[in-house]
Amino acid sequence: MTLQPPLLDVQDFSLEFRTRSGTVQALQHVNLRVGKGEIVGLVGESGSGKSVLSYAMLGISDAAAKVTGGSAMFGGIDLLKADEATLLELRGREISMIFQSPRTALNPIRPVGQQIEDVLRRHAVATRGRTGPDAALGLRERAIQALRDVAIADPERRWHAYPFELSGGMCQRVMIAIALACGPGLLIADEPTTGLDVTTQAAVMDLITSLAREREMATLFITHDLGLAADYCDRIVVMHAGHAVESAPTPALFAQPRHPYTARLMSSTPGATSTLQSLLPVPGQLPDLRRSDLPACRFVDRCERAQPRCRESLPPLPPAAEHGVACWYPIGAPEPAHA
Amino acid sequence: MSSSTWKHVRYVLSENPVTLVAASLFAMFVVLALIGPFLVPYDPLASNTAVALKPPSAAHWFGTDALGRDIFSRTIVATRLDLGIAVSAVVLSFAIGISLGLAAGFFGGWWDLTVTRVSDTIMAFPLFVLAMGIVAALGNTVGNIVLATAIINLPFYVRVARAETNVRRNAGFVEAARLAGNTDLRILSHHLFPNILPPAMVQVSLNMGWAILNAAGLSFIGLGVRPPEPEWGILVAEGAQFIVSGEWWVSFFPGAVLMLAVFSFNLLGDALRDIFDPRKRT
Amino acid sequence: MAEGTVSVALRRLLAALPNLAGVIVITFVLTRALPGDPAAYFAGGAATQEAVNQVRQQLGLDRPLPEQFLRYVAALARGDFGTSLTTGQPVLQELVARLPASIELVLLALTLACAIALPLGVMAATRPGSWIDQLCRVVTTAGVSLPTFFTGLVLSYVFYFLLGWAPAPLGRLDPVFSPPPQVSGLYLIDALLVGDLPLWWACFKQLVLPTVTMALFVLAPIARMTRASMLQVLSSDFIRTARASGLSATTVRVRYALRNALLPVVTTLGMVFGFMLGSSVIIEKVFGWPGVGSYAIDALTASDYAPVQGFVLAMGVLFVLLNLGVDLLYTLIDPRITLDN
Repeated sequence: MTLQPPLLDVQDFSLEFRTRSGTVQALQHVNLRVGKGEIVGLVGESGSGKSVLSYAMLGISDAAAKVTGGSAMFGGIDLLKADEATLLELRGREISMIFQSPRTALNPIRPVGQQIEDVLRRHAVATRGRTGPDAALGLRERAIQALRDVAIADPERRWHAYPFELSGGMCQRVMIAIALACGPGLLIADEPTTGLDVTTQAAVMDLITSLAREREMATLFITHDLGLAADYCDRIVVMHAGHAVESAPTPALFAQPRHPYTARLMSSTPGATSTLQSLLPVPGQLPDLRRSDLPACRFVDRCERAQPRCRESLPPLPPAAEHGVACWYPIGAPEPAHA
Repeated sequence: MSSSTWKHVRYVLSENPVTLVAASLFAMFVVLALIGPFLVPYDPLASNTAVALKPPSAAHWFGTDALGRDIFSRTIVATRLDLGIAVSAVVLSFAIGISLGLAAGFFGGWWDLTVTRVSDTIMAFPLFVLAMGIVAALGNTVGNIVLATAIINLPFYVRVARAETNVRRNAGFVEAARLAGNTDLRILSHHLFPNILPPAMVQVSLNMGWAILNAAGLSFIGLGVRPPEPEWGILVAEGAQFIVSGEWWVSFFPGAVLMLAVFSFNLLGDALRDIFDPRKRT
Repeated sequence: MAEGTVSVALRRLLAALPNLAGVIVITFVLTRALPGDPAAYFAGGAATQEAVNQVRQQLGLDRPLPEQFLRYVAALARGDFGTSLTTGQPVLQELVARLPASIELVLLALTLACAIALPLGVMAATRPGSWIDQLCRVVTTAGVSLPTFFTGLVLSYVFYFLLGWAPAPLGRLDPVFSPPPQVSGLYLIDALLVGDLPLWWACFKQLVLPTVTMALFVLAPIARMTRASMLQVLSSDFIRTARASGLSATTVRVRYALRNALLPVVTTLGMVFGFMLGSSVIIEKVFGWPGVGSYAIDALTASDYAPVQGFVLAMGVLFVLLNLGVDLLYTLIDPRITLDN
């Protein structure tokens, strides 16, 4: 089996937020890989750090965020150390991002077609070699084609539409069009279906995955919905409180979850035949990340397999493993001796 | 006030030392208004042509005017009149405006329509111009200055009271209170009015600064207070003609004190707003 | 333009009518329906009882109020705003003659204020915590505390008396020059139209101090609104999307953020006009500016009330129309305004 180097290789990524009420260790030693053409789901509760990870890679974090270690290699460039000029070239062109709440994520007073053209013009796509009205025509054609690619009917007319005139699903399609207009190698989709109704959710996810397959585009799909990730992702990385705790191909993850948190997450996710009684919540709450006395494993207070060792240290998530887990006593391994 | 409110007040005060300065200035002006006339070195009305138009000196800190009157004394004594006019106008405005706004929000319908119409019509004028018109029509007295300033400030209080009442009415607050057996009057006085107080008080302190400016402006153009009565606007007007010949102190000191007074009221208003409604911070 | 913009514009126009009506009613109340004898007001302080009675009959002040109101409205429709006691001229005529002076001042001051306040607010928002941000906050807080008559006098003292840079605050034009032939009534424009540059410069010099005084007064609300609006826009979702798409910092700031941020600023223009019209009265007095404000003040001092009421009415009408203009402008520039909104 030839192993292709991953398109995105995040290693040992740590990040903190300096706030008025203390420093928040938002991400710690995160390892993550996305291969070319692979759809990876990044799953976790709110506050687990999944969005923070992607914002930091693109360089659009909040001013209070500070990278404290690690690297994120993309096409030979370390995103975490790259300067703004380099990142400006990559954003929208090599790496694109789409967000939740699509209606507010688009400029409310600019026609949607114009917003696509802004990105095209910025990265000189479809205008290279052309000048003047010829270039403008190139941009217009390309923008209309982008709208057509995301299955928006009557794209010539829709070019002139404003976001408030479109439905949530349509707005999300427009955002996908903007993101894919320059043919990026990696798409980061941050909860793109949150806020949409179920049928539209499915339509949008189908669109994203079909475009990804068609263009062999790597996709990092960020979501809190394990069920959704199960339906569309090749591989899933589970995050908890700023740590990447398990990484596995989707079938393997569901066949045998190895991290206690993943197991809990699954038993609390409703399936087609679940009853209310069969759903088990994950006990406890996320720890307060401002504390300076956090245990090494942040799940330790909610885990029934916890041992004193778990407070002292934590094994890293093996980056190259097929099914990796960051736990001393994963499920399926020999049971820990009870103290 | 509860301990958490105190903590919040302390936080706001410590956040911004300027607030402390504003509060002290405010206190100073109140003191001057109350006992200023007893503290001044000279009789504000006593003229002494021998020392007319003398620049600031040890004997006359702010200099003297064309009639040899001590400007320092006149400026300090004017505090009482200016603050008095502003306070009366704001209290009047508050009382009438809040009542009308409460009625408009509570009863709705015809009440709401009329009050809003009147309020909008007042706002349809540049407010200073309207004040001029009212004083010109009613007669050139201090009482009418107060009335005119009160009238042009009405819409602010009407708006605050009406908005807050509407929010509670729409949230079912009023219905619930009625069902619990409260009479309308009781609902208005016990339930709605206390909730209106915080934003209304913020409005009051922001308004005070504006009311002082208004009163001084009207006096400057010759309405209301008549010379030789000392009032900041009149004092500046008296000195205006001397600016072009270089006797700057006649207008400058009263004007600077006026500015300081308005400034401290505005800062205080900002601090109050930060305490009661930090969301509105800009 | 979104569909239905014309209907929305018409709706705004209709909404302005009750305000116009209100203005007329209020000025009527101020003129006629007051304690004391209105006839005595209009006859003037030195009139005999006979003269007062004559005025009462002439002006119909002995008729029942509703009839008086109808007569009043009819007179207004004819352009009869009364006659000035001191000059003997019809009030409307004098107001119209002096209006361009006030308008020139207001327009210039607004332009200057925007030229300073808009960049100040934008920069304060894009560089939070910097010296520009602090400056903006000082301007905003101090600006609303400034008494216009005071700033006007201080500026006159410093720039005319001390530095000699500005001419004496004695009106629109040095008596050495004669005003340009009237086309718009705005001296700067009219002087340019005849190409008389020394005249233009003389007019400009006279305008500087009063304009700066008025501009200082309205800097604060404009800067405050611009900063607040820009801050809000910069933290919104679509700016994040724009940045994530790799759009350049300038494009994001100007084409995306600024255009959106300016919309709420336009809505404050109405209020700003109100401040300016009000403060123009005082500024015209301080600088001897021959506009409608000083006309009213002169009449006031002479106990000549018809011009004062005419002035209040004219200002009210002007303000309603200006607000309507701002409303319509907003309707045009915001594509989200439709019949449904």
